[in-house]
Amino acid sequence: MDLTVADVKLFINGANCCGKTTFGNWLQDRHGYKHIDFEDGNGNAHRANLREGLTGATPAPWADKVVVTWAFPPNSHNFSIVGELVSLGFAIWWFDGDLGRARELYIARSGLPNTIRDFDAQTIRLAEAREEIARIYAGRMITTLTSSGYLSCAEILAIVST
Amino acid sequence: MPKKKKPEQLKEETIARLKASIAKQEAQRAKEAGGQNRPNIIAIHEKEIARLSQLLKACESQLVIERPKSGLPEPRSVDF
Repeated sequence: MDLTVADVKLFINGANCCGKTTFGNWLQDRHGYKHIDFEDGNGNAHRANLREGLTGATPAPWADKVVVTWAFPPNSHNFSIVGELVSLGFAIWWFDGDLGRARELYIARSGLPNTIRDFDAQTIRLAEAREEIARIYAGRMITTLTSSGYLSCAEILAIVST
Repeated sequence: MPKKKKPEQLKEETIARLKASIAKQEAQRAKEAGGQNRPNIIAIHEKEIARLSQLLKACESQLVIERPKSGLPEPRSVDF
């Protein structure tokens, strides 16, 4: 598939193990995007760099081709960060998928105790915030993982490019 | 530093939390059905009840045994 990638800023959020980081890496490797992973332990530094790179006197070279990925515990502070990136011109998307398959993948990566500690706890938090998530991401939610596997990155790109 | 919880204790707490969350979703669905009756909101709660019930079933049926990690990057949900 030969896709022309629009120069856009993407902010990818969603459930665990639904392909956010894979998609960000793919955009970086295949389409020249800068991928910023808010989960790498430098989230606040990334936010400051984004603000500077996008609103400073000299726009960063990546200013119109950047993808940020982040799975976050849903709370007012974190939703305010989503709002902050929207105000910087990011298009937000929510990746979601088959819970059973995502959990199997999480167990394979991290073991069952960590899955209960992290994945299950996050699933409960997301369920409790689902109304707000549905409101914020209305029309921007993608099922990226089904029981038979992931959508390809090219398929996801086709969706977010429309 | 808080003591790390044992996996079985964690499992029991998660099961209790799941049951409470399902009950909360059911109450919200019933309230919505008897009130403003917004079908899209009712559908959200029904979907979450199904997802949480699926998770509860999986959680209850699995023995929690520590196993070596795969070495792949750890997926996380990170707060600032």
